[in-house]
Amino acid sequence: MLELKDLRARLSLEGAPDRDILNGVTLTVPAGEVHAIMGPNGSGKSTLSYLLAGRPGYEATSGSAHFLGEDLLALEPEARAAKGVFLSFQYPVEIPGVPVMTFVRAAMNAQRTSRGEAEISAPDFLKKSRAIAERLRMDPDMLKRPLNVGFSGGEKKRLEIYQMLMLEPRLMILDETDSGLDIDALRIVSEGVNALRSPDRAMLVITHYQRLLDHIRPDRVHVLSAGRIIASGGPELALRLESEGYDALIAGAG
Amino acid sequence: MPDVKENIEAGTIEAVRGLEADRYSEGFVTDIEQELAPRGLTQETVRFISAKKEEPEWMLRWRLDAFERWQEMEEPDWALLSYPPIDYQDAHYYAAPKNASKYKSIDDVPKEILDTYAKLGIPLREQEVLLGVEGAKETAAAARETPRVAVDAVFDSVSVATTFKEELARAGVIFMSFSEAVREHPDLVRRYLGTVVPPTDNFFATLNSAVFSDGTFVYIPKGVRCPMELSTYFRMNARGSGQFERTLIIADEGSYVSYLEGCTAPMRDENQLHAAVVELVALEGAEIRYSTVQNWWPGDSEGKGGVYNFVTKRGDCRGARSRISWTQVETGSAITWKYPSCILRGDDSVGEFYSIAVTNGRQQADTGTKMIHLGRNTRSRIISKGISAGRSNNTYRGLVSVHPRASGARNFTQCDSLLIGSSSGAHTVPYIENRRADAQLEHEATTTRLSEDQLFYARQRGLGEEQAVALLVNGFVRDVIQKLPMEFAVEAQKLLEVSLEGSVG
Amino acid sequence: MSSSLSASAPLLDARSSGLLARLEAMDPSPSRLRAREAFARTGLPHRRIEGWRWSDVRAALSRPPAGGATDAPATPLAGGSGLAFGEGGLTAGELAVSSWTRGVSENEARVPDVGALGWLAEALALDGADITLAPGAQPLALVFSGREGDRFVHLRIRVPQGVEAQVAESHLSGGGFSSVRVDYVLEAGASLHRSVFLAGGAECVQAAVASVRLAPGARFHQTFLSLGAGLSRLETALTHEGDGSEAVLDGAYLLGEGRRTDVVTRVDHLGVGASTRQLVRGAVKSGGRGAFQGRFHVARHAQKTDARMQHHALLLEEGAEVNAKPELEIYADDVQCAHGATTGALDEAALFYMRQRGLPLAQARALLTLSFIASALESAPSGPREALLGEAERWLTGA
Ligand SMILES: Nc1ncnc2c1ncn2[C@@H]1O[C@H](COP(=O)(O)OP(=O)(O)OP(=O)(O)O)[C@@H](O)[C@H]1O
Ligand SMILES: [Mg+2]
Repeated sequence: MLELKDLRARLSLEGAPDRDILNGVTLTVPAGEVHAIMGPNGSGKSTLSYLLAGRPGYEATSGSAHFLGEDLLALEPEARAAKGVFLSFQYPVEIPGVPVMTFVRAAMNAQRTSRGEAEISAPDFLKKSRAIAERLRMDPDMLKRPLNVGFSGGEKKRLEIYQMLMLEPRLMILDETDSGLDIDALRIVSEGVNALRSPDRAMLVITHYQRLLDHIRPDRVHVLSAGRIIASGGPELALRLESEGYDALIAGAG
Repeated sequence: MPDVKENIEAGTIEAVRGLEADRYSEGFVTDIEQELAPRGLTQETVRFISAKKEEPEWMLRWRLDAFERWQEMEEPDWALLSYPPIDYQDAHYYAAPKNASKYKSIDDVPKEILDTYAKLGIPLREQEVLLGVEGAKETAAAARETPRVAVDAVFDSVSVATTFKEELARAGVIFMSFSEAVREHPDLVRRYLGTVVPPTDNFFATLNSAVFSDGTFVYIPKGVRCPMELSTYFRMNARGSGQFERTLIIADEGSYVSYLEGCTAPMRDENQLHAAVVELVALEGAEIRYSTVQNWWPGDSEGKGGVYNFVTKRGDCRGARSRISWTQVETGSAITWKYPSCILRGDDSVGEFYSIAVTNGRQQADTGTKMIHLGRNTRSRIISKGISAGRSNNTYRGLVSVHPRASGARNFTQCDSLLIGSSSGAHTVPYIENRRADAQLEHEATTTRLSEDQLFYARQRGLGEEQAVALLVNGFVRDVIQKLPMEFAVEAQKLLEVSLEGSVG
Repeated sequence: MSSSLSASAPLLDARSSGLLARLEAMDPSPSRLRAREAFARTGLPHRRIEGWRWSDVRAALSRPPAGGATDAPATPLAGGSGLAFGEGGLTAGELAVSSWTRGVSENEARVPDVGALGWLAEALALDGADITLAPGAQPLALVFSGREGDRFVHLRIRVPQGVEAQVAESHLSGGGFSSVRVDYVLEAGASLHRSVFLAGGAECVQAAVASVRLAPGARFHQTFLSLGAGLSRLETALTHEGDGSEAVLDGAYLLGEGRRTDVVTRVDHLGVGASTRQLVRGAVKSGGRGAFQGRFHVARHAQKTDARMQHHALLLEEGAEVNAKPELEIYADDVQCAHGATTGALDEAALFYMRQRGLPLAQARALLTLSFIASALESAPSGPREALLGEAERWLTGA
């Protein structure tokens, strides 16, 4: 479903010299599977997720990324979203003055329109929103507040998952969705995520901790270090990392 | 030669329309026979206008005095605006559809004019209003729930129709064109005219005092809550003409009125001058809410044509516990020079100013407010949101002044500017003068651009770039939009979107 | 618009023409002539000229002296090495390490607009100096004082590449009209702290005008304390000419009966990524009048500018007056600019709290006012910081 081949990326930001962040990432996520990506701070995990979502400034210098056979890198971010790419941000952005519901409804309808589907009616939207908020144990008043503004770290993460459940994407990239969540929230959010697991969806879960993977069982685990995947394996790889740390692995790969 | 029919240079209009047509949908011209004052401005022009309006002698005197003073005044140059010198002799100071003053009922109003207002979304037939703009499809029950709005429609220099006059009269509310009021309620007009904006207040107000054409007069009697929204739609149609309307609203003790002003003009490749004066008087315990959606033709993207909007608007909270609030959405005009103000004379009176000013293309806006605290425990609040795109310049200019008698005065000011693209300018020029130790004044201002992170976040969720910008801008101006009457909030939001089209990417 | 001004302005008031007539006797240099021309555009400024609304020099100078001139006040800013300018010009001078010459050499072409009184000082300066601060130089002390007549001084101070230095200026007048202009030029990576103390009698008109030019990476930090004068104007025109320079423009004013001050700054951001921080605080008693006019101008290409302006004032008693005009003029989009301004009275709740714990009202007020003011002085380096804070405390407690 998602196919990355020798993906290399350079970061070009105004006022800073260009930097190579990804040094050839090759990765295939078949439909229906969940892959975890782990790796030390600064190894390029978020960069990979931004690259796949099309954040301006993050450009692939070579290699390719295909989603359902289509060249992802050639598309505008909103076109990727309409194809079903959803990124749960490591640091969700605050948007003052725009209530959550207004935002999500505008996004949902924009996606539907670009797929040639009819817009969702207001009552249907409300019904769906209410059901999902309930499932995530969210205070419905939260959805009337401006997007992410003044939300706690955990609330923001929960709101990302709310949006994911509302938009029902096909490729879900969760960038450290577990950070900031308390123990109960972690379980609730994971249940929400698991509910979306299906044979026609795929998922990339970026995390530092095994405890998330206890809830969202990955099919494969990859270790990213210095912009390269240095190890891949089954769920047991994550357990090994938890007890041994990255150093041994990196030394072995070096 | 008063009844010259102006020929419209179809070619030019078409060319301009081609450039901007999708952006400015109000830019069409109504083809109707015009009556114009001869080009130029002399005592004779003033007499001509006064005669056309069949005014009493005192009104003519008032105009002539103003004209005399105006000739000695100099055009102000302190605003952050630049435009070529205006030739005040090169315009018509009066333009009216032929026989306009004779319209006795709505049925006499020519179809072209009714169509013009219908096209602008402003129904002038009361039954249409009752049924909603969409027409008879809606049920009568639903129609009763839609808020009704009484309209005074000013077409160039004359008021062509005023709706719901009778129903309002039953509540004791006087709502009519200014010209009619001069004839029918001369005592009220004389008592209040020029008491908030004196005839010699400033260059443009004085010009208006000499040549004002038409506008709206409103009087709300003691204790009356005006049963519906009142509004005036100004339409500049004639070529080479200016519009100089005069509005006077008096809210007597304990009364309430909400008033909306809308303006549009055709696309012309020349600059049209608009110099209006609005005076509000709120007596003890009265409240006036004045909202403006200003969408005069801004000129094309190269800065050709567009309305020069030099407006003096001032409210006088004359009585204790009175309240005046100005809400404005300014998206049009090539040049905007406008400072709706409040004189907080009565103790415990409240003044508010909520503003959204959008400039794009080569537009220039210098706008803000003055809050003059004279009475005790007077309070004021200023929220200004400026958005600059294209190669435009947008300035907030404001004054908060607390006089020695104004014990316990309070002001809060928030000015935010948003820059879209790197060729525009955003400026903030507040003046704060405090002469009371127990007054408390707070002023905050920020200037930022649309954040790349926010844009990307919205696009990641599937919104197109323009839509994402519109959404973010709507968030930016939300505090102010919420102050508009419901039915205009939607219109204002659409207008913002249209004004900012093509500002990114 | 300024060109039309110069065309239509030649009708100078008598006092201004009188002042300029002195030039004829001087065999003026081209820069003096240029300064004269700039001054003649307005003559002595008055309140109808934008920027002079709250300091009407023309009116102040047209009041006949009531014979209340006093000796010049003392300054808390000590300095081992320096120059002192009195009524007759330079009266004492010794500069330990730095090099200097008497008088100011021909000005470079590009001169920041320093306003009418700055131009006047340049045109008519009786005395002046051109100073280059050397590495490791002691803090430089400059004292300008006098009690009558007109006194004009013009200095230029250069801080060479990479040099870190300190200058302390004291502007002390008992009476008369004085204008001192100092042009600071900071080369790349140079760093300068300027402290300024101003105090004057109720009859004097006193101006301290500085232009500051910052080359890339230069750092300029200013801290002032003004006790006002009949009319006192502290004017600073600072230009970030290159990238990545930093400016801090802090200071405080304390004004009693018959004292006025107008703190005016104009900051131009021309380079990329420069920053400006400004915090001005004031406290005013009955009969005093304070004004703050700040202006940040960010040019189109000055992206990544970070500029913040704050002005906060207390009106300690009825009869006090505070005016402010914090202005932003921004032509670049990728910037962070903000300003905040407040005026009001001391916090009643805090006053009550302190009195409840036994402090007398007057002392509670002084303490609260001092802590309010202090944050605008505290960023000064040790030395000037204690001196200015001490002076503020003396003023507040009447000691
Ligand atoms: N906007 C930026 N400006 C400068 N450097 C950046 C930027 N974004 C990413 N980098 C650098 O790129 C490298 C990879 O960053 P990235 O955010 O992808 O790491 P990560 O693996 O997600 O780390 P973490 O586990 O801490 O979230 C880091 O060294 C980071 O500092
Ligand atoms: Mg990361």
